[in-house]
Amino acid sequence: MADNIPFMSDLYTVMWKETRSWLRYQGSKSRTILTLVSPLFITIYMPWETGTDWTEGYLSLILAFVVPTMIAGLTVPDSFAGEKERNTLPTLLTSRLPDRAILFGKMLFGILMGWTAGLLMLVISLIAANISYSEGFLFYSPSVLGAYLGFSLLMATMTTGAGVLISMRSKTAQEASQLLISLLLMPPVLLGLAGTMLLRQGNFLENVDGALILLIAAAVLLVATGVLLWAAMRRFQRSRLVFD
Amino acid sequence: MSDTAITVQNLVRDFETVRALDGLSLAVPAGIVYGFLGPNGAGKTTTINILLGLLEPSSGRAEVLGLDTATQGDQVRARVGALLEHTGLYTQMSAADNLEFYGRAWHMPVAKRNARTKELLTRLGYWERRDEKVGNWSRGMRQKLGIARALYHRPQLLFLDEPTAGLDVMAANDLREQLADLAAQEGVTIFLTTHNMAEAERLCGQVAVIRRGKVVAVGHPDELRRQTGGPRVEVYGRGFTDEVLALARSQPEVVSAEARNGHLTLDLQANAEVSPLINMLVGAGVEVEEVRRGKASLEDVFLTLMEEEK
Repeated sequence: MADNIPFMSDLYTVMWKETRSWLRYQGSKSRTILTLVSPLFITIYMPWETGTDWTEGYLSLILAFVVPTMIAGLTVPDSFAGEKERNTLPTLLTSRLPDRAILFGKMLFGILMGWTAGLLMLVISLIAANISYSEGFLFYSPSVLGAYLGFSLLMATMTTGAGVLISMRSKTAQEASQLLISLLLMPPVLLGLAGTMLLRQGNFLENVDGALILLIAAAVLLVATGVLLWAAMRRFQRSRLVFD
Repeated sequence: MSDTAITVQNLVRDFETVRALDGLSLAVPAGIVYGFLGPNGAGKTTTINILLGLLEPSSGRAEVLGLDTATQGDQVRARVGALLEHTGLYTQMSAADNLEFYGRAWHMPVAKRNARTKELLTRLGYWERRDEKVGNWSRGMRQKLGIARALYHRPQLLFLDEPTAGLDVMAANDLREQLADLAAQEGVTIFLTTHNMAEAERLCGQVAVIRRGKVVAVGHPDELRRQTGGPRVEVYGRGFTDEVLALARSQPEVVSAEARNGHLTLDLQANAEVSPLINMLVGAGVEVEEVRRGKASLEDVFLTLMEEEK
């Protein structure tokens, strides 16, 4: 227990630095805000049009997949590959901060940024749904809310894990960010295409148990996230980083 | 505290087919500025990485402040400071925030952090500019702040890798003065790598010259000059013809003789007598106006050592 107190303090220190850097760097703020503008169509238009379907169906989960991926996909490369690009990593490695505190502090910042952005979009879309719905107050059903919170957290964590690995092999934050986002947005796009093709086959969706599909997706994401985190921990070691 | 800050015994480090360190041994006394000199690729950075516990040696042993760098790297890093090739400052953050981050990293309490930030920034003359982004600062200012950052947690030992590289003459001189002051006031041992021999001569109490991963000479700069370079005589005047040069070079006590910019430089064997040589030059037709006795510079010693190794 006593050992955990310095570790938590180190974790907080790294997160403090990441937050401070992000707040003081106009480029990071502008990129994040611009990235949040792009899914505003889904965030405002779709709930406006669909009303109760948005709050009680699983349509809103699109945001849980897209927003955390995009925001964590910008933040994590800037935090890891950017540290190499700006030549601050060697000095950080000479500090007394343990490898794990640096890794988890930076990851936690990326996860929180992605997750918070996802939650922000969820709130905005709820406001949009309520403005267009005149027959009372709309709120997400517990299953939709639970699924949204879980999937957005999983996506932010998975993106962060993948971001660490890609950043360690990239020369610049931009290179890492482009590769990461294109890799992570590919599966949802492919799934969307597959879904569209299945819809054309007839009443496919009527025979499908949505909850079961979500459960399978959550399990797959959980395993993928676990593998990525394990690989990130193995890769992020001083003795290896010193050669980067 | 022990009398020795760093002890390195027969250190070897291989990178695939390249041997970066080849049986390096050092003993760095505590409380001095120790110069670690060598050409590019001599193994200086590898040595620092091993001493900081960032790299494991292939064989041999290194101890920093009594701690084994291979097994106690975390404890070593907790007690030392380092300014490597780059300042490591976050350019988008303010000067005060950069120091604050490393103070937090070393678990310094808030009151101590505030006092230390004010103390160091005031000493450097940057207190009024503490909230400015360091990205907007000059290279010299950032380098000084980098040293303050490395000293922030009051380390017992400070590693400085080429701290004045890339600075103009004025900025480098200013930094050297600040460095000497800080080292004296903080009472810290400094392990300094540099290509600038005048800098090493001015700051270092002891230097080690390394080449191809081995120490080729070690001692106080004066001691090295005595060991490697003999006395030097500079003769100002007229008539330094080729015949005079050939005559000078033929004398057994003359190691080398060069005529340039209107004067003759004679490097002599240790204990060589100067006056018979001057008489000989006058006899050969040289009009002597002034004779200066001097010593070889550390740069001459360094170049001689590199030549000998070749």
